[in-house]
Amino acid sequence: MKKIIAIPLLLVFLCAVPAYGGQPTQTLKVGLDELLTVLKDPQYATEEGVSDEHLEALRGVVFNFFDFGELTRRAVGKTWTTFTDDQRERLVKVFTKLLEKTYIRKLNTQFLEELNGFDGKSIQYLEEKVQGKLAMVNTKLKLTDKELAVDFKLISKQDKWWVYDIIGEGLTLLGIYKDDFRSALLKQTPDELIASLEQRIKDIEAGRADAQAQ
Amino acid sequence: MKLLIRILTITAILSLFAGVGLGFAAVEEGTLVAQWGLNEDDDFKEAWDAKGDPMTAEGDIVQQVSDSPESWNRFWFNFNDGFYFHIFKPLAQGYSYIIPERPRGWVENFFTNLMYPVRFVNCLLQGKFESAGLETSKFIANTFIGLGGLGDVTEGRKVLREIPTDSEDFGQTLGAWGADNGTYLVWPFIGPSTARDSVGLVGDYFLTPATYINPWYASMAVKSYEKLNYISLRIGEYETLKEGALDPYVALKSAYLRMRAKKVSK
Repeated sequence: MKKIIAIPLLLVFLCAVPAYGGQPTQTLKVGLDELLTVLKDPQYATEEGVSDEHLEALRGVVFNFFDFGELTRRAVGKTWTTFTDDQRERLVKVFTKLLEKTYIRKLNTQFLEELNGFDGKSIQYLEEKVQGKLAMVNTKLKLTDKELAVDFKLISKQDKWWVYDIIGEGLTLLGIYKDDFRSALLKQTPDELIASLEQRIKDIEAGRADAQAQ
Repeated sequence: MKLLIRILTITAILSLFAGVGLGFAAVEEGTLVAQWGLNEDDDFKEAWDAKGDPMTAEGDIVQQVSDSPESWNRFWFNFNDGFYFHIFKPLAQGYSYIIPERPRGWVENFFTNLMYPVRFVNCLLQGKFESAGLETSKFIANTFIGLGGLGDVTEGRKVLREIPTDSEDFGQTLGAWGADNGTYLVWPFIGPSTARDSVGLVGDYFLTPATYINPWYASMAVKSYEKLNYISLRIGEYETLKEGALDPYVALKSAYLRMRAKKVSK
């Protein structure tokens, strides 16, 4: 009789405990693996930066494990509570666009070729720390011939883990924007902050047009 | 500064993972707000700092470092920025047009190898004897097998046991000994620094072989060439940081202080 209860119980436990790493590591691993697959997908190969379709596909993947709202919220900090819902939404939107504009142009064939030696095996998942709903996962990336220590910060929301910060050798995406936003918000209202981010995007677009003309 | 730029690229590439995220077209507005969980909690606390240590009461590194000479710093920041865009970058572009990337990589290896005394002495000063030993074997191998340091024959080799080598310098040594950053300082041509790291730069100056080239302008020429070669391999990295920031001065300061804090902790 005892066995009859014990075996299903054992099975339940076996299924509940992930085979490797905790939940945060699992989420990150699945997310990064999917991202790499789409990044390296040959059908999107291009010489001149990322195509719209590729961008769309990448967004689809990243949105599954990276929480942009959380990054923006934390970058703004306590002042966030004074933002209206509308301002919050507009800020997240424009900030995302700025990051796309700034970094997306690195995505071209040359960049992807460099990534070619880089696959799921080039990411080593080292340590995982969990405290309440926050987690940090340490990894080692072998992007080129040099190994990089890269850490990810995650937050748990509605039983799912989301990445909200990436830290490469002490440089945190969140930290740098936190400083940038904090100093801007000393002088600017939320609406002005959003406007200056929009201006930044326009500048980049103008600069890019110049570069193509040369 | 060298490593800073390299790390900025890394961050840039990583940010790409983040930056390419989030197609808002794909997101319904309702889900977005629900995801923030705005009204249930407004908690902004971090459990760990960037080094992975538990958060301390002192707060963030950037908040701990004063920027009292801000107008001085901003002046030199703008000066360096202009110098980079109007003089160094066009020169580096011309140079890289003539010399292909691989030879420029060899030149960089050569100069990195030449900076061995700085790394060695600072490993010793911090009591990192194993790292000092590894730096020495790298130096010997690269100098004698790697054609005087042009090749980096030790890079990517399998190791029996990990020994960290982290291009130590005197600023890091002072930090490891417990010296605070002091004020944030921007120097012409050198770029971001702090009071502590400036003292470190003076110490390292005397350990840099190129310092002892006679006459002084030959020494300057060698150092400028090193910098030109270095920049030629990294065009676009500073531009990326600058573009992505509302206030590039703040972003560069933040990046510099965070990167140094991490290096000191290692």
